[in-house]
Amino acid sequence: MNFEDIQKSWKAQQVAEPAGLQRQQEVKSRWEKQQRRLKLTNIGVTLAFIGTGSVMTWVYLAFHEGHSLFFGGSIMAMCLLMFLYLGLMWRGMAYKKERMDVSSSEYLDYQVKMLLWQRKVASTYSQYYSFILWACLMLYGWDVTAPGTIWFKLAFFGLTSAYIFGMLIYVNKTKRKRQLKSLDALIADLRELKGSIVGSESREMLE
Amino acid sequence: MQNKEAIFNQLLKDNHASIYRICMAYLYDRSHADDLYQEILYNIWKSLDGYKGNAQLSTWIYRVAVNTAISYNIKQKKQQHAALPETLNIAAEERNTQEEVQLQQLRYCIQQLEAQDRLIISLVLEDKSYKEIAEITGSNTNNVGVKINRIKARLLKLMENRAEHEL
Repeated sequence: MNFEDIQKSWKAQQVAEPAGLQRQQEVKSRWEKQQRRLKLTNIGVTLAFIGTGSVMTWVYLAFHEGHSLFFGGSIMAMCLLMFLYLGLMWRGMAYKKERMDVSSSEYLDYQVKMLLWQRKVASTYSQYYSFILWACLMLYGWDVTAPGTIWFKLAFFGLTSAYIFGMLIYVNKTKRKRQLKSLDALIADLRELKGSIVGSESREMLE
Repeated sequence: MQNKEAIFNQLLKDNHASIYRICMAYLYDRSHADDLYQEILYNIWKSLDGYKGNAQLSTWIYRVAVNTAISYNIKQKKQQHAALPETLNIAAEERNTQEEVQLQQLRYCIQQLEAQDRLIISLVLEDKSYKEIAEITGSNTNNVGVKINRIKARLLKLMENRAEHEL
């Protein structure tokens, strides 16, 4: 037995004829559905952003008199939080526009880049997010608890901080730990796959 | 859009068999191979607007097919595929000719290669040149040559072992 025989036998195997028009209609409708969904998501997010931004501006303009700087500070922090969230979301969406018609090497690089981005979001940006949320609530609390007693203030700050950081630590130690572990395994697999598809000399470039 | 549909239908007509064979080389289970085939067609449709003619159309299609297979594998990573059966299970109606038995053996042996080697050997089986395979994978011709020789030798060895086992 030689390879040419194998090849001949492989190419001679019967493959059912495609139902051309039906297949084409299937992929076309799937594509249109996905595009519609993406468009609706973008419109929804933009409207939500405009709506929330308008309400927050109105709240500041209508009520800032008689409040301290921390009131404005908390609204600014909330806006920052919103921008951060939107930034993460749009960046994530950009990664969905993957190109399939590039070489496997480029495709794998892209996949690794996407997973590294997910890793960065999980390990770093989500921590920043929690910290800004905490800062935002502290500033707001400082302003609204101003007339209260010192114990009331301490209870507000203590309970809020304990809840936010408690949740953060819990999520970091459970769900996020699992997520990072699975992302690391996937990244390692893809790097190995690229090394094995493209060749040994490309391994150094991947590190 | 009419033009896109016409191009897609022509591409499908010309390359359907090769694409489907690649799916069958990559995945032993026919239902998974069918899913992968659907996914490749979808990605060809999705990517068709971006085809600028920089690469040959056939190379372009194989790039989409190979990348879709890689992506399919990533998505399925957590779902364990059914293990290969210990013995070949050739359906009664397929037990017609020696060629069909040999083909089943070949598919079985291909499945024992690494996933990435299965992709490369499926391109070799489709008569793609080293240069084309290098363009599809983004490697260089020398590396591809060395790799292909190694995979071919391993496949032949597996086929020989299989034949001895059958005796």
